[in-house]
Amino acid sequence: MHFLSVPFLCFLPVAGLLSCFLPFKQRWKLLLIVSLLFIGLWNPGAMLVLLLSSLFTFYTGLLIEQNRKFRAGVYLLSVTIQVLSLFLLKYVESGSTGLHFLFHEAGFRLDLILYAAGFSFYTLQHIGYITEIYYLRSEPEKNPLDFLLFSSFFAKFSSGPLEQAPQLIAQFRKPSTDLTLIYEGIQRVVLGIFKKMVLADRLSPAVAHVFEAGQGQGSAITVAGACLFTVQLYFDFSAYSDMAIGSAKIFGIRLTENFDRPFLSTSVSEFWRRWHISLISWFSNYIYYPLVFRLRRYKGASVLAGILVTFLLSGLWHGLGFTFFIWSLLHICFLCFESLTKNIRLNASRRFPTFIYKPFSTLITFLLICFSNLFFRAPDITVAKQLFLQLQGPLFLSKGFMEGFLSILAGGGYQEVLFNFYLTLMFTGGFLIFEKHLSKPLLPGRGLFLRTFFLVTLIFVCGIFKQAEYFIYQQF
Amino acid sequence: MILDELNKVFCRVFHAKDLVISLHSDASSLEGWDSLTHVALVSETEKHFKITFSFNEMMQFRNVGDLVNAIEKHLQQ
Repeated sequence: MHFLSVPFLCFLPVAGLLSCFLPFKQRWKLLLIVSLLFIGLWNPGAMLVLLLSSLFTFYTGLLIEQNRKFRAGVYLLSVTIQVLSLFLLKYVESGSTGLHFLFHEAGFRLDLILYAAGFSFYTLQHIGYITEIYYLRSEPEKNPLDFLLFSSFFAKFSSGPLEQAPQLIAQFRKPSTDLTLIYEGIQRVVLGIFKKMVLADRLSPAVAHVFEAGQGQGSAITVAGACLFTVQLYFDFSAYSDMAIGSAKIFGIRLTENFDRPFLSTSVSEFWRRWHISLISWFSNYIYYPLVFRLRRYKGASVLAGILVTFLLSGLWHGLGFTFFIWSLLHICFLCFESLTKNIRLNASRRFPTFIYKPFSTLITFLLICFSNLFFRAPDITVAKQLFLQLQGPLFLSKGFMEGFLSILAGGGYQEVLFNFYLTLMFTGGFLIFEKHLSKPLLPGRGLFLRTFFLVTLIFVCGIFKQAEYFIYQQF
Repeated sequence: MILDELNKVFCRVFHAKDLVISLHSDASSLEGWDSLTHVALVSETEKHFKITFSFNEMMQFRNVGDLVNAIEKHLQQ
């Protein structure tokens, strides 16, 4: 079941209302039933995989705690199995392998079952769970149903946010009794629908045009396409996160925030502290910091090694394609450069006035992220190379700004599509400027009513309803 | 005093001779305290006090106070 499907939008208020009538201590049972229905009705094969994976992780956790002699071996074996299964998923998913053909010929769409099921997201959480137990930072859960709910909780199931088991299970057992959380949850869900249908999906045609139109586009259009895709990706994924966090709040559960206005970042390292926060925390806690800690005697080199390994793995997690490899290499270069020039940049920030240094750094950071996303979005390396070469062409077009730039981005020169494109740019710009105010939860009153009415009206008048249920990050 | 000794380590790592830290100093109050500096701080502190932190300890340092407590614990052992 997708967040923007009609069944989900009917199911959420019904389940939310039901939970209001249940005693707080019993709510976890409803959440478990609802979560299993959410997955099972959509994809029964996925539920079977989830059950097996959760049971395996649950008993591995207990075994690591009880068996002192072989705990290292059990831990390593379990992590290896989980990593291999993730790798297998990406390998099959890449589509160009013999394995893909083998599964497909056998009529067994393993890739569909696994990746549609948020397999890579809950596998990361399972690896985190047993790692916490192995390093004695937390105790294993004793109740398999608690653990199953942690793995399957519908709000975060398909694309996160990634959570830690003890914190989330404690909330399942004792959900918040604060009524304002329900108001906040509903507002977040509406905001998510708005971001997805009115902002992200309206940007989609212009982005698709740049990335799929083929040769012969000027550099200005390629730059605009990369920038628009970066903004689209942000709205698409943060819309998903808003809906996940909002849905959970309706049931009295607080999930980790995944975004913190990333386009205000003044460096790429700051960007990664504001973008997909839960995934970056996972990579930091389980790969970057352990590696850097082990190599800490080598000082700066340990950090560079940490960045290298973390981002290569992050690129692999996104996909096995060469485009993701280049995307991760670019981020490795950006972050290593920032590490090596940290003191110079600190001095520069003190020397120049803030109103010059900060906007300049923000713009440079945004452009670097957009450049890397050229490779992230390109369907294959041939298109990526072509787009990269187009960047080196003349910035200003001989045909003129209107004919050679705007009408191409809008997908044609007709007045109607141009108007739609302007409207999209206006919504996007307006939202980015007022994002802080529009995202702030309000208490019931006139302000809340007016804002919700405004957002819902825009969703129905200007939202794109076609294929709204597809979120970009669900493919990972 | 551990805090005074630790101040010397901070001055070295942050390249700031006049830096004065308190038990409440943390990443938000000290400009430039990021993951790179954090690891350098841990490494320099270990060398200065001739102690070895565990990975779990390093991950729990949220401010200077946490670092001082961990140093005290190791020196007592």
